[in-house]
Amino acid sequence: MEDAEILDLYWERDVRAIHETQSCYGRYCHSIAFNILRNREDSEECVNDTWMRAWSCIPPSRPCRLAIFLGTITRNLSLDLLKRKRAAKRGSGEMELALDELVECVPTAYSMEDAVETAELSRMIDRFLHTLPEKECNVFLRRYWYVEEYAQIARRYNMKLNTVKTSLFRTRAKLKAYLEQEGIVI
Amino acid sequence: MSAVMHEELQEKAFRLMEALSGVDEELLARSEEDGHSADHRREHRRRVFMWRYGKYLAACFVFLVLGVSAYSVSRLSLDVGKKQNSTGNAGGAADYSLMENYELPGNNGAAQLSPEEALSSMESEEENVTADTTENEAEAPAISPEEGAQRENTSDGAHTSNSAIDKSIEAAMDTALTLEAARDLSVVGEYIPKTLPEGYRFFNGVLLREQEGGGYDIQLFFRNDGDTDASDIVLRITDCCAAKKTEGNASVQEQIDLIWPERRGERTFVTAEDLTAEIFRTSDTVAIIYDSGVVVQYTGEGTPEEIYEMFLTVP
Repeated sequence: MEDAEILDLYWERDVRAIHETQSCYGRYCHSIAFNILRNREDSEECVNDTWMRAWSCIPPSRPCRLAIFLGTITRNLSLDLLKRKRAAKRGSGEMELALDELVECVPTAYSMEDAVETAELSRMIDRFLHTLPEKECNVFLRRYWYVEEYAQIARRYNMKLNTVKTSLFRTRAKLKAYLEQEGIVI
Repeated sequence: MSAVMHEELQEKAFRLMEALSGVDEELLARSEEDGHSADHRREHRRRVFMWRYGKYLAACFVFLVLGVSAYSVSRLSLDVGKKQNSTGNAGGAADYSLMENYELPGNNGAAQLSPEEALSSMESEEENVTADTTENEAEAPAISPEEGAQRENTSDGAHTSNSAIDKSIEAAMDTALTLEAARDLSVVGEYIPKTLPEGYRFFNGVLLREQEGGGYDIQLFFRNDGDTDASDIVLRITDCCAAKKTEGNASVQEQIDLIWPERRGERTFVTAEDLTAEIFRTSDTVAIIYDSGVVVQYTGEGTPEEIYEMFLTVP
Protein backbone atom coordinates (compact mmCIF):
# COMPACT_ATOMS: atom_id res chain seq x y z
CA MET A 1 0.00 0.00 0.00
CA GLU A 2 1.24 3.47 -0.89
CA ASP A 3 2.03 6.02 1.81
CA ALA A 4 -0.80 8.26 0.62
CA GLU A 5 -3.31 5.44 1.04
CA ILE A 6 -2.02 4.65 4.53
CA LEU A 7 -2.30 8.33 5.42
CA ASP A 8 -5.85 8.34 4.07
CA LEU A 9 -6.66 5.49 6.44
CA TYR A 10 -5.26 7.49 9.36
CA TRP A 11 -7.30 10.45 8.30
CA GLU A 12 -10.39 8.32 8.09
CA ARG A 13 -9.58 7.08 11.61
CA ASP A 14 -9.54 3.58 10.22
CA VAL A 15 -7.65 1.20 12.52
CA ARG A 16 -6.35 -0.66 9.49
CA ALA A 17 -3.94 2.26 9.19
CA ILE A 18 -1.95 0.71 12.01
CA HIS A 19 -1.96 -2.76 10.47
CA GLU A 20 -0.85 -1.36 7.13
CA THR A 21 1.84 0.75 8.76
CA GLN A 22 3.05 -2.29 10.63
CA SER A 23 3.22 -4.42 7.53
CA CYS A 24 5.01 -1.72 5.52
CA TYR A 25 7.31 -0.22 8.12
CA GLY A 26 7.37 -2.77 10.96
CA ARG A 27 10.76 -4.22 10.08
CA TYR A 28 12.23 -0.81 9.34
CA CYS A 29 11.18 0.66 12.69
CA HIS A 30 12.10 -2.51 14.53
CA SER A 31 15.64 -2.41 13.13
CA ILE A 32 16.04 1.19 14.27
CA ALA A 33 14.83 0.35 17.75
CA PHE A 34 16.86 -2.85 17.94
CA ASN A 35 20.08 -1.12 16.85
CA ILE A 36 19.67 1.25 19.77
CA LEU A 37 18.26 -1.04 22.44
CA ARG A 38 19.68 -4.45 21.47
CA ASN A 39 16.67 -6.05 23.07
CA ARG A 40 13.85 -7.65 21.15
CA GLU A 41 11.10 -7.03 23.69
CA ASP A 42 12.09 -3.42 24.28
CA SER A 43 12.27 -2.87 20.54
CA GLU A 44 8.79 -4.28 20.05
CA GLU A 45 7.49 -2.08 22.82
CA CYS A 46 9.00 0.98 21.12
CA VAL A 47 7.61 0.00 17.75
CA ASN A 48 4.12 -0.48 19.19
CA ASP A 49 4.41 2.88 20.90
CA THR A 50 5.43 4.32 17.54
CA TRP A 51 2.12 3.20 15.99
CA MET A 52 0.16 4.74 18.84
CA ARG A 53 2.14 7.97 18.57
CA ALA A 54 1.55 8.06 14.82
CA TRP A 55 -2.19 7.43 15.38
CA SER A 56 -2.44 10.44 17.66
CA CYS A 57 -0.33 12.67 15.37
CA ILE A 58 -2.05 11.88 12.07
CA PRO A 59 -4.23 13.87 11.57
CA PRO A 60 -3.61 16.77 11.80
CA SER A 61 -0.09 15.87 10.58
CA ARG A 62 0.30 14.60 7.06
CA PRO A 63 3.99 13.70 6.77
CA CYS A 64 5.62 13.84 3.36
CA ARG A 65 7.87 10.90 4.15
CA LEU A 66 6.06 8.42 6.28
CA ALA A 67 9.13 6.20 6.73
CA ILE A 68 11.31 8.99 8.10
CA PHE A 69 8.43 10.26 10.22
CA LEU A 70 7.91 6.84 11.80
CA GLY A 71 11.65 6.20 12.04
CA THR A 72 12.17 9.43 13.94
CA ILE A 73 9.41 8.56 16.40
CA THR A 74 10.89 5.10 16.93
CA ARG A 75 14.35 6.52 17.40
CA ASN A 76 13.21 9.09 19.95
CA LEU A 77 11.19 6.51 21.87
CA SER A 78 14.13 4.11 21.83
CA LEU A 79 16.50 6.79 23.07
CA ASP A 80 14.07 7.67 25.85
CA LEU A 81 13.78 4.06 26.87
CA LEU A 82 17.51 3.58 26.74
CA LYS A 83 18.02 6.65 28.87
CA ARG A 84 15.65 5.23 31.47
CA LYS A 85 17.41 1.89 31.40
CA ARG A 86 20.84 3.45 31.56
CA ALA A 87 19.83 5.27 34.68
CA ALA A 88 19.38 1.88 36.28
CA LYS A 89 22.08 -0.05 34.56
CA ARG A 90 24.82 0.70 32.11
CA GLY A 91 23.87 -0.57 28.64
CA SER A 92 25.89 -2.48 26.11
CA GLY A 93 26.21 -3.19 22.45
CA GLU A 94 26.44 -1.00 19.40
CA MET A 95 24.72 1.97 21.00
CA GLU A 96 27.28 2.11 23.78
CA LEU A 97 30.09 1.94 21.25
CA ALA A 98 28.47 4.66 19.19
CA LEU A 99 28.11 6.81 22.28
CA ASP A 100 31.73 6.24 23.21
CA GLU A 101 32.73 7.40 19.78
CA LEU A 102 30.52 10.46 19.97
CA VAL A 103 32.25 11.47 23.19
CA GLU A 104 35.04 12.61 20.86
CA CYS A 105 32.68 15.23 19.41
CA VAL A 106 31.83 16.84 22.71
CA PRO A 107 33.46 20.30 22.72
CA THR A 108 36.29 20.60 25.22
CA ALA A 109 34.98 23.64 27.05
CA TYR A 110 31.63 23.00 28.59
CA SER A 111 29.46 24.42 31.24
CA MET A 112 26.21 23.07 32.52
CA GLU A 113 24.90 26.57 33.15
CA ASP A 114 25.17 27.52 29.50
CA ALA A 115 23.68 24.30 28.20
CA VAL A 116 22.49 24.63 24.65
CA GLU A 117 18.92 23.69 23.84
CA THR A 118 18.65 20.42 21.93
CA ALA A 119 16.80 22.15 19.13
CA GLU A 120 19.61 24.61 18.62
CA LEU A 121 22.16 21.84 18.75
CA SER A 122 20.11 19.89 16.27
CA ARG A 123 20.03 22.88 13.94
CA MET A 124 23.80 23.22 14.13
CA ILE A 125 24.37 19.55 13.43
CA ASP A 126 21.98 19.73 10.53
CA ARG A 127 23.88 22.69 9.14
CA PHE A 128 27.14 20.85 9.62
CA LEU A 129 25.85 17.77 7.82
CA HIS A 130 24.89 19.89 4.86
CA THR A 131 28.52 20.94 4.50
CA LEU A 132 29.71 17.34 4.20
CA PRO A 133 30.17 15.44 0.95
CA GLU A 134 27.20 13.17 0.26
CA LYS A 135 28.90 9.88 1.01
CA GLU A 136 30.53 11.12 4.20
CA CYS A 137 27.20 12.47 5.40
CA ASN A 138 25.42 9.21 4.56
CA VAL A 139 27.98 7.15 6.44
CA PHE A 140 27.70 9.44 9.47
CA LEU A 141 23.92 9.20 9.51
CA ARG A 142 23.90 5.45 9.09
CA ARG A 143 26.18 5.17 12.10
CA TYR A 144 24.74 7.78 14.42
CA TRP A 145 21.12 8.06 13.31
CA TYR A 146 20.41 4.44 12.52
CA VAL A 147 23.16 3.13 14.82
CA GLU A 148 24.23 0.61 12.19
CA GLU A 149 27.37 -1.48 12.51
CA TYR A 150 30.47 -0.59 10.51
CA ALA A 151 30.17 -3.76 8.46
CA GLN A 152 26.54 -2.98 7.57
CA ILE A 153 27.50 0.49 6.40
CA ALA A 154 30.41 -0.87 4.40
CA ARG A 155 28.10 -3.34 2.68
CA ARG A 156 25.44 -0.73 2.03
CA TYR A 157 27.81 1.68 0.31
CA ASN A 158 30.18 -0.91 -1.11
CA MET A 159 33.10 0.46 0.91
CA LYS A 160 35.94 -1.14 2.77
CA LEU A 161 35.51 -1.49 6.50
CA ASN A 162 38.54 0.65 7.19
CA THR A 163 37.33 3.35 4.83
CA VAL A 164 34.10 3.54 6.82
CA LYS A 165 36.03 3.82 10.08
CA THR A 166 38.35 6.48 8.67
CA SER A 167 35.46 8.43 7.22
CA LEU A 168 33.64 8.40 10.57
CA PHE A 169 36.79 9.35 12.45
CA ARG A 170 37.34 12.36 10.21
CA THR A 171 33.71 13.43 10.36
CA ARG A 172 33.70 13.25 14.15
CA ALA A 173 36.82 15.43 14.25
CA LYS A 174 35.19 17.88 11.84
CA LEU A 175 32.01 17.97 13.91
CA LYS A 176 33.93 18.66 17.07
CA ALA A 177 35.85 21.49 15.39
CA TYR A 178 32.60 22.85 13.95
CA LEU A 179 30.77 22.82 17.26
CA GLU A 180 33.69 24.45 19.04
CA GLN A 181 34.01 27.05 16.33
CA GLU A 182 30.31 27.84 16.66
CA GLY A 183 30.71 28.18 20.39
CA ILE A 184 28.39 25.29 21.13
CA VAL A 185 28.43 24.12 24.69
CA ILE A 186 26.82 20.90 25.70
CA MET B 1 39.61 9.08 32.62
CA SER B 2 37.59 8.41 35.69
CA ALA B 3 34.35 6.48 35.41
CA VAL B 4 32.32 9.47 36.56
CA MET B 5 33.89 11.75 33.99
CA HIS B 6 33.40 9.20 31.27
CA GLU B 7 29.78 8.84 32.21
CA GLU B 8 29.36 12.60 32.12
CA LEU B 9 30.86 12.72 28.66
CA GLN B 10 28.60 9.92 27.57
CA GLU B 11 25.63 11.93 28.78
CA LYS B 12 26.74 14.72 26.49
CA ALA B 13 27.22 12.28 23.65
CA PHE B 14 23.68 11.13 24.35
CA ARG B 15 22.52 14.70 23.85
CA LEU B 16 24.29 14.77 20.52
CA MET B 17 22.57 11.54 19.64
CA GLU B 18 19.20 13.03 20.58
CA ALA B 19 19.95 16.21 18.67
CA LEU B 20 20.57 14.10 15.58
CA SER B 21 16.86 13.20 15.58
CA GLY B 22 16.12 16.61 14.17
CA VAL B 23 18.29 16.40 11.07
CA ASP B 24 16.91 17.19 7.66
CA GLU B 25 14.63 14.46 6.31
CA GLU B 26 16.22 14.94 2.90
CA LEU B 27 19.58 13.82 4.27
CA LEU B 28 18.03 10.79 5.91
CA ALA B 29 16.13 9.86 2.78
CA ARG B 30 19.33 10.22 0.79
CA SER B 31 21.21 7.94 3.13
CA GLU B 32 18.48 5.33 2.62
CA GLU B 33 19.31 5.07 -1.04
CA ASP B 34 21.94 2.39 -1.19
CA GLY B 35 21.41 2.32 -4.95
CA HIS B 36 23.97 5.08 -5.04
CA SER B 37 26.82 2.64 -4.79
CA ALA B 38 25.09 0.37 -7.27
CA ASP B 39 25.08 3.27 -9.72
CA HIS B 40 28.78 3.68 -9.15
CA ARG B 41 29.36 0.00 -9.73
CA ARG B 42 27.32 0.11 -12.91
CA GLU B 43 29.24 3.15 -14.12
CA HIS B 44 32.53 1.46 -13.25
CA ARG B 45 31.55 -1.71 -15.14
CA ARG B 46 30.52 0.38 -18.13
CA ARG B 47 33.86 2.17 -18.13
CA VAL B 48 35.81 -1.07 -17.86
CA PHE B 49 33.78 -2.55 -20.69
CA MET B 50 34.34 0.50 -22.87
CA TRP B 51 38.05 0.50 -22.07
CA ARG B 52 38.47 -3.18 -22.87
CA TYR B 53 36.20 -3.56 -25.85
CA GLY B 54 35.54 -0.01 -27.00
CA LYS B 55 38.58 0.07 -29.29
CA TYR B 56 37.55 -3.19 -30.95
CA LEU B 57 34.02 -1.93 -31.42
CA ALA B 58 35.32 1.33 -32.87
CA ALA B 59 37.63 -0.55 -35.24
CA CYS B 60 34.77 -2.81 -36.37
CA PHE B 61 32.61 0.22 -36.99
CA VAL B 62 35.32 1.94 -39.04
CA PHE B 63 35.85 -1.22 -41.12
CA LEU B 64 32.15 -1.53 -41.67
CA VAL B 65 31.84 2.05 -42.85
CA LEU B 66 34.89 1.71 -45.09
CA GLY B 67 33.59 -1.56 -46.51
CA VAL B 68 30.19 -0.15 -47.31
CA SER B 69 31.74 2.95 -48.88
CA ALA B 70 34.17 0.91 -50.98
CA TYR B 71 31.40 -1.40 -52.12
CA SER B 72 29.16 1.52 -53.10
CA VAL B 73 31.95 3.29 -54.98
CA SER B 74 32.97 0.13 -56.81
CA ARG B 75 29.36 -0.60 -57.84
CA LEU B 76 28.94 2.95 -59.00
CA SER B 77 32.14 3.03 -61.04
CA LEU B 78 31.27 -0.34 -62.55
CA ASP B 79 27.85 0.87 -63.65
CA VAL B 80 29.18 4.13 -65.02
CA GLY B 81 31.96 2.30 -66.85
CA LYS B 82 29.41 0.04 -68.50
CA LYS B 83 27.35 3.01 -69.63
CA GLN B 84 30.44 4.74 -70.94
CA ASN B 85 31.40 1.72 -72.95
CA SER B 86 27.95 1.35 -74.38
CA THR B 87 27.49 5.02 -75.37
CA GLY B 88 31.11 5.82 -76.20
CA ASN B 89 30.41 9.29 -74.91
CA ALA B 90 33.63 11.33 -74.67
CA GLY B 91 32.09 13.67 -72.20
CA GLY B 92 31.21 10.73 -70.02
CA ALA B 93 34.43 11.02 -68.09
CA ALA B 94 33.62 14.55 -67.12
CA ASP B 95 30.10 13.57 -66.17
CA TYR B 96 31.46 10.61 -64.23
CA SER B 97 33.66 12.90 -62.22
CA LEU B 98 30.49 14.76 -61.39
CA MET B 99 28.83 11.48 -60.52
CA GLU B 100 31.56 10.66 -58.07
CA ASN B 101 30.65 13.73 -56.13
CA TYR B 102 26.98 13.02 -56.38
CA GLU B 103 25.49 10.97 -53.66
CA LEU B 104 22.88 8.81 -55.26
CA PRO B 105 19.84 7.79 -53.33
CA GLY B 106 20.45 4.07 -53.84
CA ASN B 107 22.42 1.57 -55.84
CA ASN B 108 19.42 0.40 -57.81
CA GLY B 109 18.61 3.91 -58.83
CA ALA B 110 22.22 4.50 -59.79
CA ALA B 111 22.27 1.47 -62.01
CA GLN B 112 19.31 2.79 -63.97
CA LEU B 113 20.70 6.28 -64.54
CA SER B 114 22.97 7.48 -67.30
CA PRO B 115 25.36 10.31 -66.42
CA GLU B 116 23.09 12.74 -68.26
CA GLU B 117 20.10 11.40 -66.44
CA ALA B 118 22.02 11.61 -63.24
CA LEU B 119 22.91 15.22 -64.01
CA SER B 120 19.34 16.13 -64.87
CA SER B 121 18.22 14.20 -61.82
CA MET B 122 20.66 16.22 -59.76
CA GLU B 123 19.28 19.40 -61.20
CA SER B 124 15.71 18.35 -60.69
CA GLU B 125 16.49 17.26 -57.14
CA GLU B 126 18.09 20.57 -56.51
CA GLU B 127 14.94 22.16 -57.81
CA ASN B 128 12.93 19.85 -55.60
CA VAL B 129 15.05 20.78 -52.66
CA THR B 130 14.58 24.44 -53.46
CA ALA B 131 10.88 23.87 -53.97
CA ASP B 132 10.70 21.92 -50.70
CA THR B 133 12.53 24.68 -48.94
CA THR B 134 10.24 27.25 -50.50
CA GLU B 135 7.28 25.14 -49.53
CA ASN B 136 8.53 24.82 -46.03
CA GLU B 137 9.20 28.49 -45.96
CA ALA B 138 5.72 29.08 -47.29
CA GLU B 139 4.35 26.86 -44.54
CA ALA B 140 6.55 28.46 -41.96
CA PRO B 141 6.84 32.14 -42.73
CA ALA B 142 10.28 33.73 -42.60
CA ILE B 143 11.39 34.35 -39.05
CA SER B 144 13.81 37.07 -38.16
CA PRO B 145 16.44 36.23 -35.51
CA GLU B 146 14.59 38.45 -33.07
CA GLU B 147 11.35 36.65 -33.78
CA GLY B 148 13.15 33.36 -33.52
CA ALA B 149 14.52 34.30 -30.17
CA GLN B 150 11.09 35.48 -29.16
CA ARG B 151 9.55 32.20 -30.31
CA GLU B 152 12.16 30.27 -28.45
CA ASN B 153 11.28 32.24 -25.41
CA THR B 154 7.63 31.59 -26.07
CA SER B 155 8.21 27.88 -26.40
CA ASP B 156 10.21 28.01 -23.21
CA GLY B 157 7.38 29.96 -21.77
CA ALA B 158 4.95 27.27 -22.79
CA HIS B 159 7.18 24.73 -21.15
CA THR B 160 7.45 26.86 -18.08
CA SER B 161 3.75 27.37 -17.97
CA ASN B 162 3.20 23.61 -18.28
CA SER B 163 5.51 22.93 -15.40
CA ALA B 164 3.87 25.80 -13.59
CA ILE B 165 0.54 24.08 -14.13
CA ASP B 166 2.02 20.83 -12.86
CA LYS B 167 3.30 22.65 -9.84
CA SER B 168 -0.03 24.30 -9.26
CA ILE B 169 -1.70 20.90 -9.50
CA GLU B 170 0.81 19.55 -7.03
CA ALA B 171 0.17 22.52 -4.85
CA ALA B 172 -3.56 21.96 -5.14
CA MET B 173 -3.20 18.38 -3.95
CA ASP B 174 -3.57 18.00 -0.25
CA THR B 175 -3.96 21.73 0.20
CA ALA B 176 -5.12 22.72 3.63
CA LEU B 177 -8.66 24.09 3.64
CA THR B 178 -10.46 26.29 6.08
CA LEU B 179 -14.15 25.62 6.64
CA GLU B 180 -15.02 28.87 4.87
CA ALA B 181 -12.82 28.02 1.89
CA ALA B 182 -14.41 24.56 1.75
CA ARG B 183 -17.91 26.04 1.77
CA ASP B 184 -16.92 28.33 -1.10
CA LEU B 185 -15.93 25.41 -3.33
CA SER B 186 -18.44 24.77 -6.08
CA VAL B 187 -20.81 21.81 -5.59
CA VAL B 188 -18.96 20.08 -2.72
CA GLY B 189 -19.25 23.22 -0.57
CA GLU B 190 -23.03 22.82 -0.51
CA TYR B 191 -22.75 19.36 1.00
CA ILE B 192 -20.96 20.41 4.15
CA PRO B 193 -23.42 20.02 7.02
CA LYS B 194 -24.79 23.31 8.26
CA THR B 195 -24.70 22.20 11.88
CA LEU B 196 -22.47 19.77 13.70
CA PRO B 197 -23.26 17.52 16.64
CA GLU B 198 -22.88 19.28 19.95
CA GLY B 199 -19.30 19.81 21.12
CA TYR B 200 -17.73 19.26 17.68
CA ARG B 201 -15.67 21.92 16.00
CA PHE B 202 -13.93 22.17 12.68
CA PHE B 203 -10.37 20.91 13.13
CA ASN B 204 -8.76 20.53 9.75
CA GLY B 205 -9.56 20.30 6.07
CA VAL B 206 -7.73 19.13 2.99
CA LEU B 207 -8.35 19.50 -0.71
CA LEU B 208 -7.39 16.00 -1.75
CA ARG B 209 -7.66 16.42 -5.49
CA GLU B 210 -9.54 17.98 -8.28
CA GLN B 211 -11.35 15.46 -10.49
CA GLU B 212 -10.68 15.39 -14.20
CA GLY B 213 -14.08 16.86 -14.97
CA GLY B 214 -13.52 19.69 -12.53
CA GLY B 215 -15.27 18.33 -9.42
CA TYR B 216 -13.52 18.57 -6.09
CA ASP B 217 -12.63 15.89 -3.58
CA ILE B 218 -12.23 17.25 -0.08
CA GLN B 219 -11.80 15.87 3.40
CA LEU B 220 -12.95 17.65 6.53
CA PHE B 221 -12.04 16.74 10.03
CA PHE B 222 -14.18 17.68 13.04
CA ARG B 223 -13.20 17.04 16.62
CA ASN B 224 -14.93 16.92 19.93
CA ASP B 225 -12.25 17.21 22.61
CA GLY B 226 -14.62 15.75 25.20
CA ASP B 227 -13.93 15.46 28.89
CA THR B 228 -11.59 12.52 28.67
CA ASP B 229 -11.13 11.25 25.11
CA ALA B 230 -11.37 13.16 21.87
CA SER B 231 -13.78 11.87 19.25
CA ASP B 232 -13.63 12.70 15.61
CA ILE B 233 -15.82 12.94 12.57
CA VAL B 234 -14.22 12.79 9.15
CA LEU B 235 -16.22 13.72 6.08
CA ARG B 236 -14.94 13.09 2.61
CA ILE B 237 -17.02 14.92 0.06
CA THR B 238 -16.44 13.92 -3.53
CA ASP B 239 -18.05 15.33 -6.60
CA CYS B 240 -18.38 12.29 -8.83
CA CYS B 241 -19.75 14.34 -11.73
CA ALA B 242 -16.51 13.88 -13.65
CA ALA B 243 -16.91 10.12 -13.57
CA LYS B 244 -20.55 10.48 -14.48
CA LYS B 245 -19.63 12.51 -17.56
CA THR B 246 -16.95 10.03 -18.55
CA GLU B 247 -18.95 6.90 -18.09
CA GLY B 248 -22.29 7.99 -19.51
CA ASN B 249 -24.83 5.58 -18.13
CA ALA B 250 -22.64 4.05 -15.43
CA SER B 251 -24.41 3.43 -12.16
CA VAL B 252 -23.50 5.54 -9.16
CA GLN B 253 -21.77 2.52 -7.62
CA GLU B 254 -19.65 2.14 -10.75
CA GLN B 255 -18.84 5.82 -10.66
CA ILE B 256 -17.69 5.50 -7.08
CA ASP B 257 -15.60 2.49 -7.97
CA LEU B 258 -13.84 4.68 -10.50
CA ILE B 259 -12.85 7.03 -7.74
CA TRP B 260 -12.07 4.53 -5.00
CA PRO B 261 -11.05 1.44 -6.97
CA GLU B 262 -8.62 0.33 -4.30
CA ARG B 263 -11.06 -0.15 -1.46
CA ARG B 264 -14.43 -0.86 -2.97
CA GLY B 265 -16.89 -2.75 -0.88
CA GLU B 266 -15.39 -1.63 2.41
CA ARG B 267 -18.00 0.96 3.16
CA THR B 268 -21.77 1.00 3.33
CA PHE B 269 -23.31 2.81 0.41
CA VAL B 270 -26.69 4.37 0.78
CA THR B 271 -28.66 6.85 -1.27
CA ALA B 272 -29.66 10.08 0.42
CA GLU B 273 -33.34 9.02 0.33
CA ASP B 274 -32.66 5.77 2.17
CA LEU B 275 -30.50 7.31 4.89
CA THR B 276 -31.58 6.44 8.43
CA ALA B 277 -29.96 6.73 11.85
CA GLU B 278 -29.85 2.92 11.96
CA ILE B 279 -27.27 2.82 9.19
CA PHE B 280 -24.80 4.70 11.37
CA ARG B 281 -25.39 2.16 14.11
CA THR B 282 -24.31 -0.73 11.91
CA SER B 283 -21.40 0.84 10.02
CA ASP B 284 -18.54 3.13 10.93
CA THR B 285 -18.02 4.22 7.36
CA VAL B 286 -21.04 5.26 5.36
CA ALA B 287 -20.98 6.75 1.89
CA ILE B 288 -24.12 8.73 1.13
CA ILE B 289 -24.87 9.09 -2.53
CA TYR B 290 -26.77 12.15 -3.68
CA ASP B 291 -28.66 12.46 -6.97
CA SER B 292 -26.29 15.17 -8.12
CA GLY B 293 -23.42 12.68 -8.19
CA VAL B 294 -21.88 13.94 -4.98
CA VAL B 295 -20.83 11.33 -2.43
CA VAL B 296 -20.36 12.26 1.21
CA GLN B 297 -18.42 9.66 3.10
CA TYR B 298 -18.73 9.68 6.85
CA THR B 299 -16.30 8.06 9.26
CA GLY B 300 -16.43 8.82 12.93
CA GLU B 301 -17.45 8.27 16.46
CA GLY B 302 -20.59 10.33 17.05
CA THR B 303 -23.85 8.75 18.17
CA PRO B 304 -26.01 7.52 15.27
CA GLU B 305 -28.80 9.97 16.06
CA GLU B 306 -26.63 13.05 16.13
CA ILE B 307 -24.83 12.03 12.97
CA TYR B 308 -28.14 11.42 11.26
CA GLU B 309 -29.34 14.84 12.37
CA MET B 310 -26.16 16.36 11.05
CA PHE B 311 -26.86 14.87 7.65
CA LEU B 312 -30.36 16.28 7.69
CA THR B 313 -28.75 19.71 7.41
CA VAL B 314 -27.15 18.70 4.10
CA PRO B 315 -29.40 19.77 1.22
